[in-house]
Amino acid sequence: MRFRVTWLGRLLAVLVLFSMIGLPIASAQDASPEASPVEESTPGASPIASPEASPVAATCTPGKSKTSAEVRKEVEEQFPIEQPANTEGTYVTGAVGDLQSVNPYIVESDPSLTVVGYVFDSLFGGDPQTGQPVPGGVTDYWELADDCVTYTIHLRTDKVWQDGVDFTSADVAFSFESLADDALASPYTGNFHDAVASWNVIDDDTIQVVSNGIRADFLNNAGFYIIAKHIWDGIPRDQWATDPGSTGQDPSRVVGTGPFKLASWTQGQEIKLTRNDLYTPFAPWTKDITIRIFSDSEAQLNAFLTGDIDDVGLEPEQVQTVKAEGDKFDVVENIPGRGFFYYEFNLNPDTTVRFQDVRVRQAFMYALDRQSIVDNILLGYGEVAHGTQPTISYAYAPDQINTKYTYDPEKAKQLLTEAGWTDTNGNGVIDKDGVEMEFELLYPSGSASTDSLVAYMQDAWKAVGISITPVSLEFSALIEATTTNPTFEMAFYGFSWDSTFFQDAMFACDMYQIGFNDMKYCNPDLDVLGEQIKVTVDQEQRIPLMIQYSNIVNDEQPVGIIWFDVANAAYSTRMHNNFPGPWGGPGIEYLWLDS
Amino acid sequence: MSTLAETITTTDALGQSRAARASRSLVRSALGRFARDRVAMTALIIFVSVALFAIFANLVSRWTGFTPYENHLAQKLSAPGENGYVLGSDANGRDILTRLAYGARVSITVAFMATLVELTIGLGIGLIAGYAGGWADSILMRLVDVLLSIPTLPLLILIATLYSPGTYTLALIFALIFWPGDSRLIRGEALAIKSREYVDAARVVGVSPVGIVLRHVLPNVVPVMIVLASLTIPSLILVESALSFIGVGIQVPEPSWGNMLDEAQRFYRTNWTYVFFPGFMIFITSLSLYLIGDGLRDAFDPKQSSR
Amino acid sequence: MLRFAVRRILIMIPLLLGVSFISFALMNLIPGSPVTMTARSNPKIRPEDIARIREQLGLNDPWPQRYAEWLSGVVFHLDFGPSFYNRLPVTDRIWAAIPNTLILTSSALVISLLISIPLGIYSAVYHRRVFDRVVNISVVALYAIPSFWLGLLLIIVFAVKADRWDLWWLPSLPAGGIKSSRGGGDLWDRFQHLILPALALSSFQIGAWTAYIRSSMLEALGQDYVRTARSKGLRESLVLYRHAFRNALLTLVTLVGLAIPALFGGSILIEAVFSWPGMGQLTLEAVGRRDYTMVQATTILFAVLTMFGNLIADLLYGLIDPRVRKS
Repeated sequence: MRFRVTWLGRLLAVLVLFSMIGLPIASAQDASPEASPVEESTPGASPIASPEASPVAATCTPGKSKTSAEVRKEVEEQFPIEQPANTEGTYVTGAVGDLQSVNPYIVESDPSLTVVGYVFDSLFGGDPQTGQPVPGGVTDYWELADDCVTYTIHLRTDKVWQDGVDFTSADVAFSFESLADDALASPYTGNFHDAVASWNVIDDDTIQVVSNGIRADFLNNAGFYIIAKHIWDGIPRDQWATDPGSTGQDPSRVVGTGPFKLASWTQGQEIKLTRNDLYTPFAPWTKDITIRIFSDSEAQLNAFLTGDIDDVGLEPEQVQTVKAEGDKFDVVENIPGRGFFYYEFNLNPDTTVRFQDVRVRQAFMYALDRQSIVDNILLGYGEVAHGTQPTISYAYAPDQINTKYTYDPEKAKQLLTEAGWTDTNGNGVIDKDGVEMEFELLYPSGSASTDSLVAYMQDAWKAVGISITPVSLEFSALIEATTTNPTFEMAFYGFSWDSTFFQDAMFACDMYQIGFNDMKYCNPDLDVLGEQIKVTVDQEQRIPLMIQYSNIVNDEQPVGIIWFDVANAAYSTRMHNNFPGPWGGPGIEYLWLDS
Repeated sequence: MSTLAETITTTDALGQSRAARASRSLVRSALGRFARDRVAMTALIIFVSVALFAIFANLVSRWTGFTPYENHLAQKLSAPGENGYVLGSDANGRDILTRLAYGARVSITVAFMATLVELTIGLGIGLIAGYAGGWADSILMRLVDVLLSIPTLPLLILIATLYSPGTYTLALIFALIFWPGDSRLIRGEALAIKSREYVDAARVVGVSPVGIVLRHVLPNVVPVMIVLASLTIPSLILVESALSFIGVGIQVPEPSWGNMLDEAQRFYRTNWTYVFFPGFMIFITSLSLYLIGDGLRDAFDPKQSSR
Repeated sequence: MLRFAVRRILIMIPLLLGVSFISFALMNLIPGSPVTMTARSNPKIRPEDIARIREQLGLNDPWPQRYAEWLSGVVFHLDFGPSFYNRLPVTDRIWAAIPNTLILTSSALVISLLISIPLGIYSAVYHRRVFDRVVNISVVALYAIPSFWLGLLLIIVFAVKADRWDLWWLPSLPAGGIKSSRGGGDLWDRFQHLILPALALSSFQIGAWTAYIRSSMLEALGQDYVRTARSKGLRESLVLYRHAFRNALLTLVTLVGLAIPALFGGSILIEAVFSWPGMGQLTLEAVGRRDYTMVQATTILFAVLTMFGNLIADLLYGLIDPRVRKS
């Protein structure tokens, strides 16, 4: 999942914000973790150690998961849920950017993702503390067979579509068929084929799904939204995108099993949702939700300050503005994020030879005072990155990262000199073999903190003889230059990970131009390790592998990760059962507001 | 040489020198009137100060002790006078005063260069259309009509997004977009001059069209050009800062008054001085240029003076 | 007169064709496409999926062909096509945004007229007095001031400082948006939101029109026929309003016509400063998203407005001044 750092959306803040109110995000985790006899590969003292090449006997823990009722009970115990004094409240929130579609198989951005999350259930639920998939959504519980790839999913029998039609496994089968159908032209067809090998309806409430090989992330990746067969059956799939059920123009065709129904959508202005009284296990405690569209985050903040909307994500400098208002609002700071901000090198020798030497790449990192960046540009809202696993990841382990790039410009200069880069012609810029260390840094426009950051980086690197020319590009143009037609030398991005925190999408050799490996970084041993991680179902066994992965990437610096992000947000005091966090709270159905 | 030829040469020479002397003395008396105009002279002084501010930006930098790019994150958004910043610092702790000086360079360079190129093109096209007349005039003016009906700001936004222009590219883009209006005006002038007596005389005597254009039409178009320039330059300063303000003009971290204002607007609640200064520079620069333009107009035609 | 108008309107057609072609070409030259974001947001997306999405959106056809298709849609069905972002007709979104821009620009127009007419007249009447001198300098200031800066200053004074200082004579006005979200939307609420952006947008016009009216009045007041009227013993004010002002009206009317496209252009900036959900916002958003059809539609709209503005100015000028009936 990417997020855009554009003036159209401070997406991370918004995403985090909405996920706090319960956007189910499925991820892979065996519900009952027990030690499984997986061969452990030696973590290796040298960071570029190859893991054991012998085939890993990837095993799993077969058996029955908890039921959704049990899971819900546990969740309710973890959070201080207040019983509602008022169930007729309206929750008003904001979004920057307009709705794109309400068809879950087409949408990729907010606020569309949020709305889809309110209207539709996914196959699984998500644990609000860890983000891992748990029984929930339309699933009551599942059973994993001994072959470790066959999941028998027992669906909830009490689920009903918003128009009253009964929910059955035929709907799940239909959803799968649709995703698998190329004619749909959905961005998620690839995901589907990657995760699911086949499926088989057992009865009205049971469906069997076979995973594409033993995968630790199957449940994360298979948590698709479920759509209604009785609405969509018979409509040719290539027409779905323009169907009024997808464009939201006919709310009666926008039918899910989620807690809220789409009531209306006025383009460019607002989206209105209303309570689904048929939602199980209980109807939401809020009656209406209104999402107002704003042209930029400044307007959204103004609306929040005047009480027009109930919550807002905050940029670092906005936090003080809101806090200055005193007790009128609840400000929540340092909500851990799921991602990081980084710069990437172009490692393709046909494009540039500047960054081929690892010492050079490390020097870039040593020349940055990242603590100062966090303290001054982010006003403390962030964490200096050590390794590649962000703060909220289960594999987050800064103490086990071997190389800490603490600010050391002298060391940077030393590394550069060792690598053969010195200022031979006295122009203040180092060079080697006639090539000057002078290039463009591409970055997304529209975020003032990024502008500030890039200006700082230019200054900091100048001190060690590196000359960059910052070029701010509009996001589409930036992607063109880094991914579609990679002509860039260095680029800056922000990135948000899913709950698996598998990072092969960014570092695997075959992800060049397809995934996020803009750098054309290729370490075959790392890829082997990555594959191993994917099939290590047991989390305890997996974490050391992921730390090893993180160390390798950290030492090789194909990208320079500057900080792990956090979010800040403010809420109206009228909100109850609002639990901000990176994976959302127990669910939007618990939210209620004073009248 | 025959007597006729001598006569021709003499007449021609007389005519030429008379026209030249006429325009020379016109300009001279205009300048005299301008010098007596207090408001215009004040405006001139102000503008020259801004120009000097731009030209000697490096001296300004030396005086303040800051370069326009150096970051001091810990002292970001300081108030004027705080932490050694005369006018305060921006979101990266860069000195605002120094950046205003370098930004002045950008704004003034773009405006002047664009005007130069624009007027040259407009002059060329306008003279050809106005003097040649006939089908050349029709075709050229049709083209001008089409170009004039294209909405400029959306077009500028599109082009700027496409090219991410630097200073000189931006100047070129402005010139290419705004020349049609100028050419129409100059064509009008050329038409008017074409019908004057001395032009007829010159033509009868056999001076080539090119010669007429160069010796008679051109010098008389000069006053109009000067006035046009005095209107174009300040409006281009405003256009450039508007584009940079939206984010499609001069890109950060290179300073331009427009993009400084763009950054400042995020902090309008807490640092109003940061909003004030870049905008103020745009304001007094274009104000002084407009007043100079007013003064020039009055100087060239005191009868039309409205003061 | 009618023939003149008809001819002008007929000429607009090829002009619009030219404009639409140029903007379509430019839009397609910019790197990135509506699908770029899609490709980027999901690492598991396969090249064939992207190809299929492009196919569905019709992006695989060469752009001249797409232009021809778009054009036939417009000409035969008045269909400007679906937005690339949400597949809904672009006209819907534009239809929703236009009223906001119209409200803003017409308010600016009205304010400009209300202020510049009396100001121009009285400064001409009190020529060379203090009032006149003050006005003279002020008008240049008004059209030299960058409207977006003025907008920001107004926000600072009326939205930020007014709250802080709490002076009885300084009203507190909202900092942006078209109305309050909750329980707002009534006329007074909308007016409060409108006043600052309209003022900022109108500053240029106030300056320019006051100057023109003033000089036009001065010229007219010095004309022979006015002297004649005066010598006949007519009352001063009659002389003033009937003869001189009618002359000034001529200039004014042309200026109003010419100001219309300028106001729409300027509204892009003001809408950005005040988060006003109008055409300007829409255009900037659409360019950012590479929503080709939306950008086409808004560009055509701006072009139409520009042309109509010019046409109205010329027509009114022709109507008022019979000497200029023939073009």
